[in-house]
Amino acid sequence: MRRINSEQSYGWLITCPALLVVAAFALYPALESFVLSLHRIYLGLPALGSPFVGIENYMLLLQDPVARQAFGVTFGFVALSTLLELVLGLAIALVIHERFPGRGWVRAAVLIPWAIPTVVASQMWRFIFNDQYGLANLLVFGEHVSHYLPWLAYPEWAFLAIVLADVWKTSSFAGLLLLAGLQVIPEELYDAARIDGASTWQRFRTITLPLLKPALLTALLFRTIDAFRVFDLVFVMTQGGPGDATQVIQFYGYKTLFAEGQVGYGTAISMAVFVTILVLSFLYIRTIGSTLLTRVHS
Amino acid sequence: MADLVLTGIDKTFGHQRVLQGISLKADDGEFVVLLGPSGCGKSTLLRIIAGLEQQTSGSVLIGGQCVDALPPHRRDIAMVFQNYALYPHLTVRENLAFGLRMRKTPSDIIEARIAEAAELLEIADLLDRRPKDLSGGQRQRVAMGRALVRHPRLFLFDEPLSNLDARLRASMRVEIKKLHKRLGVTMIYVTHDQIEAMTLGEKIVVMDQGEIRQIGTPEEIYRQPHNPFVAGFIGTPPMNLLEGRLSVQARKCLFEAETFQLVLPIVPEKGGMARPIPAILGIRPEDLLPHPEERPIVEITGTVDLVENLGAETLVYLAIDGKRLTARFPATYRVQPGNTVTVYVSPHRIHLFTKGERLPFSCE
Repeated sequence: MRRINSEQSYGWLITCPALLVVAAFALYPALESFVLSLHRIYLGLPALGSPFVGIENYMLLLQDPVARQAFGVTFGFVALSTLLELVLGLAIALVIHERFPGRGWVRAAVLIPWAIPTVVASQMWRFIFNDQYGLANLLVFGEHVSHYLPWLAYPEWAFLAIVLADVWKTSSFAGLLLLAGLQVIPEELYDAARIDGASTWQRFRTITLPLLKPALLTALLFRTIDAFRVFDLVFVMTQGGPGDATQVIQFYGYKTLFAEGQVGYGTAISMAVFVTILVLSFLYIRTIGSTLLTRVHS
Repeated sequence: MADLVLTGIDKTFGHQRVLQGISLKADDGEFVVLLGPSGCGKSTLLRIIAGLEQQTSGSVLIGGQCVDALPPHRRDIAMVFQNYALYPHLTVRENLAFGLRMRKTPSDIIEARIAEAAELLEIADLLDRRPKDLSGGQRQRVAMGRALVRHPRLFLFDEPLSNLDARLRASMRVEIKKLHKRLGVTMIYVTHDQIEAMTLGEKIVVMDQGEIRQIGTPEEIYRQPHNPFVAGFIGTPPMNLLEGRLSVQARKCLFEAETFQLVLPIVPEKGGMARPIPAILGIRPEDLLPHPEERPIVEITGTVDLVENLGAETLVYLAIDGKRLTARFPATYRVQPGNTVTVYVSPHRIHLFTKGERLPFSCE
């Protein structure tokens, strides 16, 4: 017994530095945010002080139609972009898993969008959808300048534009995760299936897809959580507009907190995002935890 | 049931030549072993037979039919893989059924075939498990079962026992042999393990560097190796191979190594050689005898370097002026390192190779 105890305390000892870092940079800010969200604070009006108001900000959030709309936009963005990224990522993974001359270059090239800082990529996509000199207009209307559209001024197009930008930027990351999954599937299985008479499509459906499930779930988890935190794309490309058409919840929280100076309400919105992601993570880990641990046996 | 004929198979990967001019025949119902060190091209050859790989030139005929243009599943073959290649997400039953389902076989026939294979391989109680819940030996059986249910004309085995421990390997070897006897179907078996080759093969094809070095029965391969490669590759401990020069004198030969010479009472069939030519002298360890048992006999004297007692026998390593010679003696033979001993070999048991080929000779 004593030995186990000393082993345990040694374990605590060596994880201590890491735990301290987590506590200082993740736990403390989260707690502090929570405390802030229980107060009414206006940055521009220091004379009002910062009275404790309990869950008033959260009650406000529940009744706020703009927040509801922002959550709707966010979920729509998450669902559409994650779906497209997984499908496209799978396609990318399947292509760069094949052996062909110059594969190394293609693999590197595929990752370029992911390596570009989001703000830069967003700026690029804003240019592409520009109403006067954007590439989108040139591709669709060619020289007919009079037909050029201000894409980002239409609610549906603006929404699709940020989805497109996100898909362009992060599909390759999903592809990379799926490539790792493809690489652990033994080549022999495909040989056996060819001898068994499975067509290319049947091999994909009966071997690749089921054996890729852990990797697919991992990619889904990463992409959902990441997409839920979307902010910079919206900030650069649309500023949430036109109207509230692309106003995702993070951007609404940012506007409330920094533009309007409502520190209490703004942090309450952030806490709501935090809790949503926390719940999502728990759900995912519960569902895929066991699958992740099952390695491919042959 | 079918025979297999390969004619002039070449295979290059890019600039690398992996197979060169492979021609061989497996008779209907024959057990043929492709044997060679890793990288000799034997697995590539098997994959070409299966249709998983396309040859650069040459033809594959199964049952008299050229299958070069046919995909693997239309060649009517079954293959057992080195790592079993069982579908991990399917049960044993589903694994066995997979190939038949792909062929749209009626389910009552599938059931019957599975039952038949399960009984033959004694895996009936494993049918509802998944591969990860099976031991290595059980997986191997399932892999064979998957081949069996197809009733193929040709069985291909790619080093099927290399992932099993020594004891299991020995028992599976016996099982495969029994299976072959019972089914009477043509089997092509790739291995780098000479014991597997010697025990299983009715015909052994020894390969090295993409070429066939010798085709023969286990007996022929062992007794009459055609070249130094086959001589050195088959047999444990390996055959003693000494390099030197050979010259023919009246009714005998003189083998000269750097520091010693042996008078051999033999006459090459091709007749005399004017000048000494480079030659390799081969003697199997078990052909070295502690006592002269017949006449004429060749005597070799050396110093004992090391003695290994293996229980049933004793391995004696001799140093003869810098060359090493291994002798396999009965366990009763007593000798100490440092002793000078004379060992004997019958001229009938000597192998001579010149220009990379066996030199036929008769004994005086």
